Amino acid sequence: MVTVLLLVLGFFAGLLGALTGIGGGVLLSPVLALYFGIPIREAIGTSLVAVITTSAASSAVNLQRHTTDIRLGMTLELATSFGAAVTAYLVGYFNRNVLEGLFAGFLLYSSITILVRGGKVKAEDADDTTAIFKNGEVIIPPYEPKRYPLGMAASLVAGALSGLLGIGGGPIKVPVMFIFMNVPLMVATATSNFMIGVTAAASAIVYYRRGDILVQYAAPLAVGVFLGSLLGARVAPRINRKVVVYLLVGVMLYLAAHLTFHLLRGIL
Amino acid sequence: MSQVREPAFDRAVGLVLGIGAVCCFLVMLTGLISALFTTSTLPLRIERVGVLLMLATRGSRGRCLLPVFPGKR
Repeated sequence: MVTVLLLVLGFFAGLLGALTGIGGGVLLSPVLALYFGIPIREAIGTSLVAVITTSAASSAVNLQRHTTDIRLGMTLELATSFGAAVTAYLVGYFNRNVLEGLFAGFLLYSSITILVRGGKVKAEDADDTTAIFKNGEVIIPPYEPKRYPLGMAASLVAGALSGLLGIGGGPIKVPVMFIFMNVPLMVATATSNFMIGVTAAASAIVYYRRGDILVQYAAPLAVGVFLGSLLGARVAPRINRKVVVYLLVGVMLYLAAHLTFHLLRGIL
Repeated sequence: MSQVREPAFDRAVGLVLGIGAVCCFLVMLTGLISALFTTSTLPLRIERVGVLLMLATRGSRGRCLLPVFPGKR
């Protein structure tokens, strides 16, 4: 029964992740901790496997479309992987309440970021369609990434959060690449998707060595996430993304409130 | 210029990631299905292999292709 529930959970996390461009870890870790009774550290480690699965499935498609800037991604990965590996090691010494508090805070931050981006979905989509698809070919407008030191610093923070909370770090990487590094949104999203898997793999290895990845939970989640991501990528052009974005933000705010309540009940 | 693409390399890395993801999916699915028919630790071992395969796929991020595309990176 638990396996079926995990499959369904993974499927919806993958579907929402593919439709909104997030890894899915931001939903999986709190749900595993709150509703499956898994300690938060193991929940984080287990959700990392699902994050890697989503990233592998989606970045394979993006690479075929040539929207991923591998050179930029590999440069920034130096910082994200370092940050992820260090915090994944340190998380063993963190108090459970601190992790839950950090997660609730990150859920709130991500909700606000997604809402701000969600309001601009239509305008960005229109720009991307006219500028990028010509005769079935993907044409990226000319650009030159700027402010590498800032990008590296932000990537270090995103990597650290990934290792700490079992998330992809997309809500940090995409705005930094898009706003500060002069990278087109489509390239920033695809490159972030590519980086997420490598970052998560760096910290997942540390979690695995410590025994914090529960394989019996990770496998059904990964299978569900894989199927959900595939379906999400297929139906994405036909779905009103604003509705999905508001649904996702609603779920994230609910989880943030539940985590805060859970935390306060544990402290008081 | 960062936007200068190497399409063959992009395609090859995409292929490695795609094949890796599908293989891991199949291995984990095998583990889940075998859990329906046996109570031994075999399904858990199969699922563990799937998880490790996924970590290896993403950890390598196409580095295995460097000998095929010398001087590209």
